[in-house]
Amino acid sequence: MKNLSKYAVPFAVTLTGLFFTVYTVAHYQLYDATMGPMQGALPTGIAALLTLFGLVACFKTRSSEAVPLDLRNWSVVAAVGAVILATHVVGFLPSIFVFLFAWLKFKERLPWKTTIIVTVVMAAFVLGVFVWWMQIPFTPGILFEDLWG
Amino acid sequence: MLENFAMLWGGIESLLTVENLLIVLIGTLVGIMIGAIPGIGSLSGCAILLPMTYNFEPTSAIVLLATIYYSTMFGGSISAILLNIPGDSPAVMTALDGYALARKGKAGKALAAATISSFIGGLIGMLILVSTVMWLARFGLNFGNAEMTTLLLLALVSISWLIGDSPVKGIVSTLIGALLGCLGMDAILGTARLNFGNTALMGGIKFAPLVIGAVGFSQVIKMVTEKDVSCDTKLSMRESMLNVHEFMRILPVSLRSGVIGTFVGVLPGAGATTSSFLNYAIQKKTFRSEVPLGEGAIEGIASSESANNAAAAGAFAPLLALGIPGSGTGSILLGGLLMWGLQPGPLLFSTDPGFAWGCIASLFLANGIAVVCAFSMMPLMTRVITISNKILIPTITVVCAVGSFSATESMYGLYIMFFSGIVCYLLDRDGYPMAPLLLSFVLTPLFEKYMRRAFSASAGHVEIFWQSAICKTCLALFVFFLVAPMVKTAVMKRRAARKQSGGNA
Repeated sequence: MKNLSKYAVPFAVTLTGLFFTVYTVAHYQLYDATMGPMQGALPTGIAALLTLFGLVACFKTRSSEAVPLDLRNWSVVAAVGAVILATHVVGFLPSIFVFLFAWLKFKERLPWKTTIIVTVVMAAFVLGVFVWWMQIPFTPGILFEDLWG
Repeated sequence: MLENFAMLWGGIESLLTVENLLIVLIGTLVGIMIGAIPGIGSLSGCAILLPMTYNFEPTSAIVLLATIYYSTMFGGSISAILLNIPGDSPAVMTALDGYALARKGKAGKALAAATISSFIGGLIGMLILVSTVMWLARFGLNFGNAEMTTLLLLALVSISWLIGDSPVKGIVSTLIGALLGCLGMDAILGTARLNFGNTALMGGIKFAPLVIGAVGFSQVIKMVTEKDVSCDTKLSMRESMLNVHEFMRILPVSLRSGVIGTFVGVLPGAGATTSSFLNYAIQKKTFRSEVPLGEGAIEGIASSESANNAAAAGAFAPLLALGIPGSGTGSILLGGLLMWGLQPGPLLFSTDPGFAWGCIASLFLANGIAVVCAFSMMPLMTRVITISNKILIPTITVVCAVGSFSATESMYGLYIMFFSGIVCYLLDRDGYPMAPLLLSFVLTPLFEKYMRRAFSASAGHVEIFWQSAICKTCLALFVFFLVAPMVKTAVMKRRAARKQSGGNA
């Protein structure tokens, strides 16, 4: 299983290339006698090359070592995934600040003082630059939609 | 020539507002810090900060990004010297002699040599930039659709300079970036292409969230398992001063590396890292140093630092005059220019001279301010470079998320950042380089637009691509760049085989 994992990326690349080759050939015109290459030409060419080089990468991977997958790396991915889901309910800004506070306090177990200082500084930065100055309309979420308009 | 310096003075005058001077100062400080913190670098730094420039007027926006980009070259040497961890790839060669000197208790001298030679190299690069950029822009006016197509083809193939040890992985990265650049809308017909019925995808994949995910968020994912660095060196200004003899040792090296470095920086795809490696090799093989290179020679530090700053300045010539980025960070600057509604290229200097010369003038200001900041920040930097990953991970994640949301003013930006971060982390983990992906993402739509316009103008005849001298030159260089790495690899393999058989005998 560990040995097979090293083929995951080149295999996914090959499949992506193959999918786009078939899709662009099926849906878009490739060439016109008077206008030359059309909208399908370049994506088809790129996708075909991607398929080819994906296969070469698969072949070359045979001699390389698999890079071990560390699940700890995925903790931040899971956290941002949770922020995205929570955004739909409570809105973007509350989700992102809860993430920051929770990560500092519960994941990294930093002291209260450091956690509060970093959270307050970051909140001031985000609210000052993005909300007040740039006036970005952050998603309020279904809970606060009526409240924030 | 004098006309160019008059224009530059105009650019400096346009920058002399409190707001712009503050931007240069902030950009320089942020750039030095970003360059100094190991693992972030100019590419991630500019990517993460790009959304903050939306509310700026274009001149202030490019001034901020240009000063950050340029100042990271100063900052990169700090962690290279104090920790033996280059803050950014152009500082790799600086670590060889810088860290050796720091271990001898002369970290301050090493930092001073790096800062002074960075200043000299950067100044040379900027003077050459000012002298040649108008000529390059006037020359660029001869470029029609066919010429631009062949030039972009040349730029695309010269990405091979950035693809590292594995050409196949580099080519795969380039092709992924090119394919992503095709998604959204057909530039010639104005019809939807590869959007799979998704209206958000009609405008294509937005550059800012893509680049924040590809080099910012993917870096954060990687940082989770990286160890914190520690630094127990204490620095003072007095210890860091170079004496006259030491200054005279680095002066000729800085001048020479500055000139060579600028010309390397002008080449698309070459960039500051190549320039730094090349000049260090020249110094080692061709010139004498008081101390052997690699054992704490300030000549080694000067060759690398002067060259990377000169290349960073030189890279602005093709970017502004022809619209061709020279590096991954250059592609972010180009993406920014397009985002602010500007078309970099030969006409930029006639349609918006205040912007173009303001950008160049900001480099001069950044160069001067960076020297002062780098010296005065030395004691503080030992603390900045050791900020724990425990704090950096969530704070950079927040900036990535907020920045990518702001780029599209919708969740679409956040989705792009999230997925590109995961995909690019997996690619990076398997050794697929990111810079070619970003460069080809920016260059492919331009290449397609000019190519199809040229075909359309010539009623589908391919001969249009070898009718002018510019096209012929670009195509000849294209073939050279395509064949040269293969020939070089074959020659090196044969040499290695010969050496091995000689050893066995």
